[in-house]
Amino acid sequence: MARIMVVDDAAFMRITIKNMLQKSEYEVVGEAENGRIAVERYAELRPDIVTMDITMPEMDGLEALKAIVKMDPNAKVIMVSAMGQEAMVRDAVLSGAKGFIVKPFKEDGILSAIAKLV
Amino acid sequence: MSNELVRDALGNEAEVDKAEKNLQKYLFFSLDAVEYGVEIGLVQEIITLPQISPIPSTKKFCKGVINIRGSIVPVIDMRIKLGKEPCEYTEKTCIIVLELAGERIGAIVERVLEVVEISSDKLLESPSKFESNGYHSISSKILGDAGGKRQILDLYQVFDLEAEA
Amino acid sequence: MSAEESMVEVYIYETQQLLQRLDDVLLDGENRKILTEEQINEVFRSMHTIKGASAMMEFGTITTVSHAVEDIFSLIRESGAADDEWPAVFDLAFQTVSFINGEVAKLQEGIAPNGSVPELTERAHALLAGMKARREGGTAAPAPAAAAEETPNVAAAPAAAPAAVAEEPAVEETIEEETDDSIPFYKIKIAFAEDCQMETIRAMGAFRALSAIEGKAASIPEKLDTSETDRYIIENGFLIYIQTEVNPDILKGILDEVLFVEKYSILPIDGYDDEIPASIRLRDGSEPAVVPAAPAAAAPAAASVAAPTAAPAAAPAAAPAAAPAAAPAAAPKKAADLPTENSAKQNFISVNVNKLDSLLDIVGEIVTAQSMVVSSATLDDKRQESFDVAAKQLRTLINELQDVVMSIRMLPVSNVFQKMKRIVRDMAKKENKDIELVLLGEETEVDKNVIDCLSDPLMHLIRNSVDHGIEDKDTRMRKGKPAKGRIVLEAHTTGNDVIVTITDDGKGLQRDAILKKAYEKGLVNKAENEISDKDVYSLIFLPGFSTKEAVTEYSGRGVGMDVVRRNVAEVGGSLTVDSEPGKGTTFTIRIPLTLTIVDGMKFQVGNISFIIPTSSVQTALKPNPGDVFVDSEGHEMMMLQGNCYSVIRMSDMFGIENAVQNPEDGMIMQLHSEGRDFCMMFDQLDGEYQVVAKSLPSYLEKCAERLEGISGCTILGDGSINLILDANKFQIDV
Repeated sequence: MARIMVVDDAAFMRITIKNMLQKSEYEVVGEAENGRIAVERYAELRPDIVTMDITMPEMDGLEALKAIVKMDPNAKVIMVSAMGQEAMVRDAVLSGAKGFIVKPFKEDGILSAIAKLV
Repeated sequence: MSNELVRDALGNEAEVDKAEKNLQKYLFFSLDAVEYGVEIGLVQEIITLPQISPIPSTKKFCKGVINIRGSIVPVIDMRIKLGKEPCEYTEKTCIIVLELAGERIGAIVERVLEVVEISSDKLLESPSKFESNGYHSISSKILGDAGGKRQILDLYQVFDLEAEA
Repeated sequence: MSAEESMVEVYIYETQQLLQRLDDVLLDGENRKILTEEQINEVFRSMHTIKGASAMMEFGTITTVSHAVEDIFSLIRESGAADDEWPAVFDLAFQTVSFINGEVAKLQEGIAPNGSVPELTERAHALLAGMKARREGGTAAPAPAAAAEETPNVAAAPAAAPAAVAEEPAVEETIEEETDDSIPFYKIKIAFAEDCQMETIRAMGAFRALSAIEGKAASIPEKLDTSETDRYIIENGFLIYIQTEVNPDILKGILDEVLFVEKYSILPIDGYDDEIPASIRLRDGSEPAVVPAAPAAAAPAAASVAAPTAAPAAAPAAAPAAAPAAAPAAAPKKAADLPTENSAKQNFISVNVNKLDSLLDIVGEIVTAQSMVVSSATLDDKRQESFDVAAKQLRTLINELQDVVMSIRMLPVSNVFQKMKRIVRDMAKKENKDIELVLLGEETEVDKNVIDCLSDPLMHLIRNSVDHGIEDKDTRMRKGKPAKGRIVLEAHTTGNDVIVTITDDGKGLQRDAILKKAYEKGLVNKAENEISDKDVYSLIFLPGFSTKEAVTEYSGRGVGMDVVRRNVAEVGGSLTVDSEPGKGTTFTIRIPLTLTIVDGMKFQVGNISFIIPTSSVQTALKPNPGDVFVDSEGHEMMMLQGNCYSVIRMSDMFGIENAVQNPEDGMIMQLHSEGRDFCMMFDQLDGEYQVVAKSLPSYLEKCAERLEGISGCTILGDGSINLILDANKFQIDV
């Protein structure tokens, strides 16, 4: 079963996404509340897929994505964006993100996205 | 055995047609020759008489408190509460643990009888509110097979509590 | 608890944390009339987070208002705010925080958040529009300001341009090379999932993924660097024409990995087909392939046009703001020289309170069990010694465990105190009074239960001080008081209790007015000169009492002091008041720390067992004949170490029959209490116990005549229930 890491500075979002994923029996192997920790955890855990929030303190999702892709060119990262963040999403896609999902989203949205990358 | 009565009664949920006929289950206990019924929904459990710790300066009907699995529950002698002369407790004496208005109260009764399902049309208003020692206790009477021997207690009135909204 | 329920709980918890933090930051900023850059960012991020979470939970009202404030702070982040803009911004932010708090409160009660938003959002939009207009009202400013906003975009564009250029080389090359008509062409049409957002970027991603393979590709629409094409792509789909030798299965594989693709089709197409973009279409050589070059040139051109403005825009983000009035005069002030608030990152986890309660219960039972084990052990001398040592160690460990568990439930009162700042601010503003709230002893820790119950009473008392206590500025000046009123909220512990005082320097309580009212309402029947000032002041706690005819909005209708006192009593506390006419009023709340574990002496009176906390006992002794005597008024007294003490018979106090009547046959305990020390007569002493205090069932109030002096009860190891006394609550008439 796919191993997924959830990155978001809001505990609420992490729990929400985690619940959605675990209901479909994906394994959430780790979480991170900012980009820096995300990069560290990625190195430790080597998850199959990462959901990455864009706006986070300390290091944002974009920077973390770039670091992760540099570390592992095969990394599969899905950006989690809010409306109005086109520029950053674009940058992310160009920097190697496999795709993105826009908040607010429903369960089937994120599940279909993950399913494609598994 | 008494608890099985309660469990059994509570276990069968009212079906739709029962609700339409306004059927209610009551637990009956006896005090002297009269049998009193209380709504089964207010009954938590029935236990044998445990050690009662006295509380000072209580009114006569309050015998003190008991310990039920770590909770402290006041116990009321129903004979005294309903205006009768107190009696020695026997091995049949037990406590009906009630829960109403957010309070748990133990009612000491002589004997627990049975659980009966009664439709509201069988219940009549008693001719006069029975007042003894200042307690209004009866809300209605059963006709028919009971012949006036069975009465339904309005527990909120008996214990002077207000039903929660 | 279901997953959904726990999600709401987390949502509520997180949102409330954010809101509290927002209040603190905004209050700090309002005081200084400006927010630092860090604070602006914090407000922006907080509102952004709240908006995101609320949108996920589909709480529309909260999403709307937080979005509105987020937009305003987004603007402020980029272009600062003028001195004269801040007050309106603070007001709106505060109102929004209050509104969201209200909605979240509804959630806690299980009600849907259904507050009315139009007014608030209109105001927010108006404010934003005004601020924007102001900034655009400048000259060259608007452009750079706009450019500043697009800086990220612009930064991306150059990145995109090279990428585009990178993709284009395949195109440019074909201009020179011979067209190879043996390599198959495919037409790929992609329809993205409905409402997936940012379709152009998704299209760009798909195109980029396909372009990575050997071959040539072109898309329709061709330019994918703005969101203008979103609509087009939604309506018409996204087309990619690709010429490649690679197996179409590979194309499928790539397309299968593109997120939010509803469906796609891959169809072979003739390389000469007109619909294929000229950049990759096969030609029979007669048409000059100039066209492809243009887009390639255009892209970098666009990039280079944007780039130069990027530089000036980037440099002084302050610059664009420079034009609109004095706005960015504020900007420099944003600098780090302003003291920022201490946001120490602390290591905390949140724990479900139910788990703590369970833990506490279990620890309580361990204490009882340990106590019974120790008191029932009777061993021969040899083993007794080692047993004693072991028992002592056990007791020490359990005490430590107890302390730690208790401390987990303890929270500093600052949580509640800080909330008061907002209340004072709002009320003072509304009543046009200038009031300073001073907080002392915020770090005092108190059981969570107590904190929850303190909140309402404190609110009422503070509102009372602001409303009825502190006079308006003119009156104060006339009285020679500083124009700024002062309310001091202080907390400290005294070992057993926590004392919270609310002191204002307002006009104080009016003895005469209170007495008059009390007489009118028939609440007093003593003569005027027989009542002390303090007792008169205490009259305000009687139900049905209010000296203010006009009940203001904040004091609440019918929420009198009696309700406050009752709330305090619910946690076992007491509320008293003292005042100096003209100078001010002090309310004192005393709440026993929920020390559910009590070290006590067990003693007997008649057939009833009691426990009195050891801390209240000065000494216990068997009196000699004549030690207890009767004074001129018929009260029993006793001399101990040169002092005279009243003697209270427990049997009298509680109406216990069958108790020892003769002092020599019984025992005396000298008890320490708040008021005065006194002696208590009882039958016999049973030993020292460590017990877990529980509250008496409230139904007992209807069953017992006199329960004064009893603070709770406890279950001993043998199952018996003993009453716990509180020496402070004994009524002693002298």
